[in-house]
Amino acid sequence: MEVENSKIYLKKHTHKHIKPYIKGFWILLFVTIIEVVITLMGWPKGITNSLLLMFTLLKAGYIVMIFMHLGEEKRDLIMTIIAPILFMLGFAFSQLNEGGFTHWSRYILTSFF
Amino acid sequence: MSHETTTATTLEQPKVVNWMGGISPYNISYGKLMMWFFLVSDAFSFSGLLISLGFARFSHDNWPVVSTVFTDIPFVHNANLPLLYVGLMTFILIVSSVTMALAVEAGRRMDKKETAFFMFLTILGGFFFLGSQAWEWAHFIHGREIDGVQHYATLSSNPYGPPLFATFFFVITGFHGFHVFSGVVINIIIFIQISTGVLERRGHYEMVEKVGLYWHFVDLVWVFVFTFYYLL
Repeated sequence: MEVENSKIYLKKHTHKHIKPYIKGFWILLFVTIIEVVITLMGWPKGITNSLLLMFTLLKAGYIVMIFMHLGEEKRDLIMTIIAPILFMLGFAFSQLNEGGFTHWSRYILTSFF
Repeated sequence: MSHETTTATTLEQPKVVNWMGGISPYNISYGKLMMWFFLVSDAFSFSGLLISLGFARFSHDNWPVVSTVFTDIPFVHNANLPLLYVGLMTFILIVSSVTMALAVEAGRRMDKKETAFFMFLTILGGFFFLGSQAWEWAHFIHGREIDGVQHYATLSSNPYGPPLFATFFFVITGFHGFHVFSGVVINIIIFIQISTGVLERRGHYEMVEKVGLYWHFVDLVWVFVFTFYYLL
């Protein structure tokens, strides 16, 4: 007998369970406010940028793990989703590095001629 | 599997192993798995855009301080409040993401009325965000006055900084805005399906979970766009 695919793996709850979402709302709200404040403080670029990256990853992690419920899926699935994304870090590193060389040829190299 | 050696009276159950077919090794339905795979590929598109933005920023000396470009809010003349309206747009998208999470939660309890209510709030948030973005585009395109001459922003030139500054603004926020637009359209379709009882008759609200995944992803992308375009 063929059972509808969705029905086998369905997650059903009997009780209201909204606490993580309300908590998520406050986390995302406060982190966003802190991010804007940090940007406007005019601190050294290195400190500002590393703090912003940290807070952004915190927000992204909360959205993916709690709101999208990836945290409660099987570990195989989590790895299938996360691992390919990690390759983007290498891509980012190579392109930012390359951007530095382009900067060099745009401003420094041309100043010799 | 053949069980010729066992007798009929033992009633041995065949051992079911992951990856042997018949069950989902990921313990997830086909539709949700495919939505996840689509989101991974979509994440690659946005990564490509944001990384090329990083390339452009690293190779230019005169990239503008973005918080000095977005300082206006609607209906206020010369407000000069840096990033306030973009922050508000971010807040609206966060709220609509929370209401979507609540709709998914209500769907898991088969609560038709509550699911429809939170879905409605999510759609409202989506429209609010789209309207804000339309205003911001209009404002950005209108440009600024330099020495008594009005300079407008286009894909290839703008009065704020290098040409790529406007190009990336239009392409990245445009691509994201198109995602929000499609998300709102899909949300409306699902809202109609909830209200007319289609999902209730189906016996589960998994469609809400699928569009929920997409909607949270749109919010997730905005978190990165907000940081990498507006803040850094």
